[in-house]
Order: sequence, then structure tokens, then C-alpha cells
Amino acid sequence: MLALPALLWCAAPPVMAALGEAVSSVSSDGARLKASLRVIGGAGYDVHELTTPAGTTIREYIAPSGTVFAVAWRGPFKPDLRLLLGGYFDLYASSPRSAGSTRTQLAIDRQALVVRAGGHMRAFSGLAWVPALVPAGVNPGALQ
Amino acid sequence: MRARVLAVAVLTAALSACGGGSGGGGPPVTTGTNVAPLIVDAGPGGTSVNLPFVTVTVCVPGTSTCQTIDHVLLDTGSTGLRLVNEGLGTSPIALPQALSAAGDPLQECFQFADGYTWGSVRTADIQVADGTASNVPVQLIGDPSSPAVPADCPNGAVPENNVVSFGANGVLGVSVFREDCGPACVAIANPNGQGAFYGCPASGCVGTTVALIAQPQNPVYHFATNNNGVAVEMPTISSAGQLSARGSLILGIGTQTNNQLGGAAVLTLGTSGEFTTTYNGTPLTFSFIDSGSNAYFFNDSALTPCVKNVGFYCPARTTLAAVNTGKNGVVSDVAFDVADADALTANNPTFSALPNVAGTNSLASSFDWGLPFFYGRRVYVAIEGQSTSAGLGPFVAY
Repeated sequence: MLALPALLWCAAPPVMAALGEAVSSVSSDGARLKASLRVIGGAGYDVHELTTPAGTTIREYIAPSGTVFAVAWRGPFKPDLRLLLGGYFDLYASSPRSAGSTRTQLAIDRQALVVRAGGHMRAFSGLAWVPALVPAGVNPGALQ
Repeated sequence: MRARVLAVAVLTAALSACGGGSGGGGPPVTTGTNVAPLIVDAGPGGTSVNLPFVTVTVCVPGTSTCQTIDHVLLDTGSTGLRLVNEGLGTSPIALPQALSAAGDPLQECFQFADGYTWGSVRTADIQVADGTASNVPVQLIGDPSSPAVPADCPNGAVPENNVVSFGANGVLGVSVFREDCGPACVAIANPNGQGAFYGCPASGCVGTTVALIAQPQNPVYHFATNNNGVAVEMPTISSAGQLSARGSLILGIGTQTNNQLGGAAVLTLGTSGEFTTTYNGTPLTFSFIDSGSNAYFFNDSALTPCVKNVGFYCPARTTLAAVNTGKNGVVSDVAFDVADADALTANNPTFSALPNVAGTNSLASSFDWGLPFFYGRRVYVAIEGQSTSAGLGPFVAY
């Protein structure tokens, strides 16, 4: 569980890194998303939570190493997945969809990338993680 | 809408092209001028399972130039009429192009969780049973006159712009919402940097905001009467399934003798149309009822997974229990059966109406009550802000 809300909303353009990137490698994603940022400290990982003007909440899960190992989203629109998935976007776009995927339910199971997403217009949500980057003891499928 | 592929044989072209389907389902349960027949059959692609199709007539606004299109998916999980251009045949009706506020041709990138449709927004008079929605925006999917898909539309998703990839000649979205995108598209031109609506002058497409009334509309909301929602009714079907099944789309809620709520449980909904289903003691807060989903979709690791129909469940037939709770606190107990999807499809590979089919849900917090929920039931879908005998929509009732 996420236990310790640690910081207030930042006034400056928020800091955001894409999946698989080091959180210290400040990207302009947050500024491009015009998103507000909240940082939540937790057991085993930190969470950067952003809410875009379109109302989509994005969470980046950051390992103790400082690397974003998972990203999750929920809201009326999908996030800009090219920004959010970074170097994993092309793998996401080109990967065969796992059996059982549909137009409103998506599963990708690659060695380098796992995606679970679903919903419909006005209510999308999803979760993507890099198995090799997940800290020990964390069940990525349970992140939201 | 959430149509997951089940392993069934492709029906012959002669059968799938006949438009009326055949066998099995018997007559519509409900009659009346406000009733449109539904058919669950193999569909235009020949492989559909548990998808209800309806026939819709569209006309050039204010004229008698019309086209009737069969096998349009009746979807309580989306909003607005979308027609696949390819499904309109060799002489498609020429509906007028809608324009953006700036006067440019309006195009829509309509997003699914893993798919999108691209095509023009056009205006039409829409006729369903005795209801007519005049001069409302619709989407023409795969419109050959549309410009190329803008780079920021797909967002990594799969295009579904023809009949085979879409699985129907169109979709009639009769959800609880009045229009497809809603207030977000009034305020933001490029939500999250991806497209929704675009104005497309010759110089290229640019994301644009669109007023509510200029977005593709739930046609029911625009009917002169019976405009507060619909009821979708399917008969009980054989436990082995059926080649096809016939049901009814009933316009209006509590407006005629044939659409009274009676003792139905009324569950009001959250802002994205959700209620809570408690299953195995866990509240799933983004649950919904969806005629465009062809199975129950929920997660239960105790159910035997299928070997052939991967992603579906294959237990010996078993009865399960869940509790649905509306935002209004109304609680409804539901018992439902899940059977072996591999056996159902293998025993009768040509059947298109299969009860008791269930599969996994990619969202941990969601229970999707798809078409099997409708067999033997009437489900009411009340539109947001519309008045009914049970109060204002949005709600679902059954």
C-alpha cells in the first residue's frame, strides 16, 4: 500500500520520466502534458502521480534504483503512450496482442514489457511494467 | 463494446448474407411500434458470438434519401451511431459532412482501449423502430474521402476501419451518455496529446474542440418520445447455445405499456457509467453492463482456464454469485452460471448464441456483464439527465 503522502503539489513544471528511464533524467514529458504532480513515498518504491488537464491520472512507479519500472493510468482519455512508455512505445505498438485481447481489453506479454489495459471512451485505464526492473517483493500486477 | 473472439466455424456466405439470420431464437419477446428486433447471429464477418445486431435506417437530413443498414451492433457500452463505410455497399448514402466551428471538415479519431476508428463526422436522420433523431452527427468509419490518419491519433492502437476488423456494419451506441466524448472534448482540442476530433482543411488536420451537440449523439436522446433510454431484452436460450437468438430493443423507459420498470432494481451510476460489483468479497468499483461485450469478463483464479479459447474459463458448469451496488446504495444479488467455453464451441461450432461464457478481465477493478447477462433478462439503460418513473438517469436497471 501507498502509505506516506510526502510532498505537496509542485508549482514548477513537474518532473516526469518515461517507463524504463531514470527518474533523475528529467524529461519534458510533464511539461508537455501540462500535468500537475504529486509524489507519494511508499514501501519499496515511490510513486509520482500526475493528473493531466484532460483528467487522466498517471502514476509512475519508481524503484529504489531511481528507475521507472511501471506506469499506470486511469481517466476519460488514454495518456500519450509515446511519452509515457518512452523507449518501450515501439514494442508496445508492434507487439502481438495476447489471446483474449479485444478492442476494449488489451494484454501484451513480452519478456521486456507487460501491458494490461481496458475500458471505453470516458473510462480508460491501464498498467504497463518492465519485468526486469520490478523490485524484489513487488507484485506489479497489483499496481493501479 | 468488447467482442472477444471465440472459436466457432465460419458460416456459409449464403446464411450470413441473408440479413435475418435463421433458426433457434423464436419470435421477439416484446412487440410494439417502439420495438426494434435484435438478432444474435454470425454477423457480417461470419464468426460473431453473442453480439446483438439491429437494423438502422439513416437518411440525408430532411429528405427521403435513405439507406437501411442491417447488422449494426447494438452497444449499451458506447454512444452514438458509427457506420463502417465498407458496410454501406457499392452505393453508399451520401450524408452531408459536418464542419468544425472554424468551418473545416470535421473528422473523428474514436478510441477503444486497443483500437481506434478514423473517419468523418456526418449528419443524418436516424430511424430505429418508430424513433427518429433528426440531423444528428454520426461517424462514418473508414470514409474514403477522409484525409490520412493524423500521426497522433493511433497512440499505438490497432486500426478498425473495415467490416472484418470492426465485426459489424456499424455500431449503435445507446449508453447512458448523451454524446460520445462529452465535456472533455468541449474544453480540450488534443486531450493528452492524442486526437479526438480534428478540423481538416486542405493544409492538414488539427485537433479541435467540439460542442456537445456537434459530437456524435445518442440518437435515443433525440427521439420525440421514448427518449429517456432503452430496454434490451433477450430470451432464455438453450444451455447448449443456439444457432441464433432473437431479442428486442425497446425504446423508452416507463413511457409505454411495454417498457414499464416494474420491480426492476435501479442502480445509479458514476461519472464514467460505473457501479460496483462485489465478487468473492472484493468490491470491483468500475463494473458495468455492456451488450457489446460477448461474455462475462471478470477475474477468478479458481476457475479452470480454457485450452482452446485462451482467455476464457472452462470449468464444469457452475453457479456463481455477485452483488451489484449502485451509487444510490441499491443492492442487487446476481446468480450466474459459467460453463466450459471450449466444450460449448466444440460441441456446436456454428452456434452464435452461447450462454454462460466468461473470461478474464484485463482490469483488476472491473466486472463486465456482457451479453450472457441479457439472456433471460430485460436490462434498462437510462440516459443521463433524462426523467423516468424511477428518477433521473443515468442508471441501469434489471
